[in-house]
Amino acid sequence: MTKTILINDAKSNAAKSINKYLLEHFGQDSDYVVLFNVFHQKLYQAHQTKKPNIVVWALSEYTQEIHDYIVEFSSLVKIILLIDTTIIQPDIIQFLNQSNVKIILDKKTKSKLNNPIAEYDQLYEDSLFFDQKKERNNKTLILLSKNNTKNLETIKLPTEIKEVYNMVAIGNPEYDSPINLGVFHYAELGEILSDFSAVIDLDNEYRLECQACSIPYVRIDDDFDISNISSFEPDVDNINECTYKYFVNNNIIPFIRK
Amino acid sequence: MNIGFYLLDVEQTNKKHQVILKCINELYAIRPYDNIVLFNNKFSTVDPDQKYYTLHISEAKYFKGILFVFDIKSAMLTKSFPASKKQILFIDKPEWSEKRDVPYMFWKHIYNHEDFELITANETMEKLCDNCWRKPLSNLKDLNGEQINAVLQKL
Repeated sequence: MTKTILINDAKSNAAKSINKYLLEHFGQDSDYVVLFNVFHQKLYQAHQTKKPNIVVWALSEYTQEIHDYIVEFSSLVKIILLIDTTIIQPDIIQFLNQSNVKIILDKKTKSKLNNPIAEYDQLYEDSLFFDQKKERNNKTLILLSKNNTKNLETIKLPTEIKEVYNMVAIGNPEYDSPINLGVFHYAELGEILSDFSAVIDLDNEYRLECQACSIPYVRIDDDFDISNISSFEPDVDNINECTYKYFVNNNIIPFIRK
Repeated sequence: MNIGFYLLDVEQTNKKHQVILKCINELYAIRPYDNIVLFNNKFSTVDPDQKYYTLHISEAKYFKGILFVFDIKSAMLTKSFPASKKQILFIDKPEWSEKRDVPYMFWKHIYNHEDFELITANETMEKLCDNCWRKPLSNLKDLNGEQINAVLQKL
């Protein structure tokens, strides 16, 4: 019997990557019909007309509509909720723990949810990070923290350029400096990283991406001195298992097929 | 040699424009046998010393020569021009750090564009460009015909 999977499009990188591999897998399977769209304000209509067996939704797209849907249909429909952002309201955590929703948990969100079907810490989208042989520009790239106070405390470079120190920063428009070269999209990060000779990642978010592009990843510890970088993080051993593709194929797809 | 200057909205009150027009006239005095063209869309100024040709900016797309541009807006428009031998982007301020919510790739596609050479207005900008993008072709001590001629000789 054909099963229908409803996948809600989402803005977060994690949700986009997971959705991509679900689509890639189930889109070719004649036993499954995949509905992929932005289902805000269309979820109930889609439920009535298409009768989905499985619903995949990201917490970053959580609305009253999906909340009500979980209340009404979580016993009939397999609802998979991707926890891709931190839950601020404790009553939602309590609600989800008491519901029949299946959780995929990003551990970085530090959400206390019971019995997730799968959880991950760091994953990367390997299709975007591969250019290991590109000529480097002998410059160091600073991936700025989202918290600008941290940027100001860590990057103690003079604001006046008196000498060329070959460092540039991207990722937070609040950081007021002539070396701040703007913001970036995750989809472009591979192309950006592969130009540079080293990376300082203040929020420690893109270690796998840097390794995939063969770029030395600067260690930020108590001895960190931006004007004298000497210490780098070692490579992660199982990087091939830290891809969204691997995670979806080994953790989510078997669960949906069950 | 064909030498073009791409200048949008030339205004009488814009000091930078007046300096550039003066510079073009000085360049003509140095290189009287070259074709020196100003490409513009609006020319609201009086230049009694005018020695250059003027053409509409739409003509610049197929201009076969060296094209000077003086701001990011112009560079955005000219970067895809297929005919110019080389484009020279004059940088007198760090526009990227004034508009920090613009994506890095936007700036990169201009400042690191292979058809562009960078020239800077002062030593600080030269160091900043070298730090952030790449070493400029030249740093002008002053924006005048002699300095522009020196840039052309470096090409």
